[in-house]
Amino acid sequence: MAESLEDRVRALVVDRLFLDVDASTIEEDENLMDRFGIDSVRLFEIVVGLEEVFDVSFADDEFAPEKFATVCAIAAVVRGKKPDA
Amino acid sequence: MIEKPALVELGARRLFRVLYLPDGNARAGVLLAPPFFDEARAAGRFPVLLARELAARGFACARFDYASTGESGGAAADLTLTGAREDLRRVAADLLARAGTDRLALVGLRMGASLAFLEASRANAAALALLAPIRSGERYLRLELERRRLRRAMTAGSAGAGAADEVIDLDGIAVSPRLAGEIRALDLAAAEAPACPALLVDLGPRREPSRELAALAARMGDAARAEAIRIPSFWTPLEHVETEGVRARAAAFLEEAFP
Repeated sequence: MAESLEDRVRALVVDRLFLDVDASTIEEDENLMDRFGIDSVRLFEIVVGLEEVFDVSFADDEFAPEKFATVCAIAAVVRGKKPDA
Repeated sequence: MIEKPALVELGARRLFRVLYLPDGNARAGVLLAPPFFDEARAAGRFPVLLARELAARGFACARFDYASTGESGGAAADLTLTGAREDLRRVAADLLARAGTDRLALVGLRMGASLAFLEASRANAAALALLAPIRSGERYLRLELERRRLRRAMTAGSAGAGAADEVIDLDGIAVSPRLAGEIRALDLAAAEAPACPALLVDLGPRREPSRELAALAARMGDAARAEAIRIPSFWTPLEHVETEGVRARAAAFLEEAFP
């Protein structure tokens, strides 16, 4: 079965932030900033990872922390840019 | 080993430079070229530790701040890539004269790696270690602006935006239109590639070097190779990141290049 977008986002977050956790333990609507103490530097790592892995880019007005706060929110952003992702 | 910080006059510029001289004859001179902007501050300990380790292995080393940055003279608004490249050449020549050797290696991190790539031929470098080089200045500047917007969004609640032709403010560091133009024009894929033994290293989450870095190494000839070291980006203001593996790899490459 193909890996879901949400699973790919989970894996990306764990990989890019060098987290020592099992990606499958991250709930879709769990606040990443609360659980992993994500600040702007780490959030930037996620954004760069999204750009590289999904070949998307972000406009000035898209840099709102809430758009990257959860796996579900990140997946929605990516899906909005790449419906077939 | 001697570690000697000084403000030196090179050309018409006053540069902060730290010289590391080994006990006995130097096997080669190694110039460490630093990153730009916040990355230079965040990477602070890395060049210090690397220079000391290389000096202990018999290399004469120098690290420095480009004019208009760090402890060097010059107004921040006067920083240019052209000037930084001149600084690199002058500090390299001065290092070789003081170390009594004509064998030069350039080791650069981020923008320093890009400048080392561009200046290697003119500086007559015999070896290059390029750590996380910036291959596309356009992308680099775009990401720096994205980083700023994210920081603003998380601290002030508004990402903000700026006109394309204004002086870019990277959290207190003004990037003049001239410097921004020079950075945007930076494209290592289109630049003439130096031909000398080289180690190109992707530093970050990758387990293999990117296609772009591998292609850059291929353009430099058979004596160049691309590798990846999986490590958090220690040139961003994260918590402390241990860089021993990167330093050890760079030192091993230089010992191989200058047996």
